[in-house]
Amino acid sequence: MPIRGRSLAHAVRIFVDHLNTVLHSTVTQTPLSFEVVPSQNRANIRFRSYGDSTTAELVTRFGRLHLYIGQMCEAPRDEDGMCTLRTISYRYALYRDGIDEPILRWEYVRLPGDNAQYCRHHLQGSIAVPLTDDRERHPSLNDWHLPTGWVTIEEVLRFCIVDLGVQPLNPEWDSILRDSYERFKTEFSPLGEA
Amino acid sequence: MLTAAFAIPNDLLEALDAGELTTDQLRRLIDIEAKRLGLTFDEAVERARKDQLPRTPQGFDLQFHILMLAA
Repeated sequence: MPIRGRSLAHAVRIFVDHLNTVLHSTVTQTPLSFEVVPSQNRANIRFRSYGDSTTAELVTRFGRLHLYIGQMCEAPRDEDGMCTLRTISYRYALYRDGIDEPILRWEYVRLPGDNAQYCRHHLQGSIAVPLTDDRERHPSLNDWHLPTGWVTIEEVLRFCIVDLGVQPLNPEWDSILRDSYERFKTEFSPLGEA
Repeated sequence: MLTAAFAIPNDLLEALDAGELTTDQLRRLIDIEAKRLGLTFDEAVERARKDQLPRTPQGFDLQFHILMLAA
């Protein structure tokens, strides 16, 4: 059962409230915000402060990092008048403190451009891939669209805690992420066209 | 540092805080976000189409906003 609401804004509100509960129990108290444009049937979910784009600061075992979360959704109206939320695109990125280029970014694009034949679920980043002996000729992961499956926010938060060493905000973080992931896969399931 | 010319006007801030924008307000937001990156509205749209906006949070959000407008 996907997330459904009386309107696009209502459906997005349900989703964002849930995500914020998860975020506040795991890696950050910074809340996600959203803006809907009903005339376009589009919503954007992001960290926002006084109208400006921002990130959630993370203290990791490697130093300070910044987490970017962006997700664009739509919610077509069903025959019963309710709106079903669907993700059109997501992007999760990690930045080093003071560096504008993300180290890693997980992305999904439902409708890539006309000539784009890359994997729509992919990982990119400012990482040189040692494919040749000549360091100067190492391709950047930014030039590739390394295939992934559908990456959930829960999985990125788990990566931040387990692999980057972010101190979880709640001792029950593991079960909170498991429950939320399960809820995403079963109750929310806004996967739509994967 | 942001200049006053690129600040988000109060009415737009209020709409963002309320979580709902009109198409015209979305256009104004895109225009401001583009100017902050040194781009015109049209240049930003073209760069978004080519996936050539800066890979900063500001660039990423601008790209999402342009995609919303294109819907």
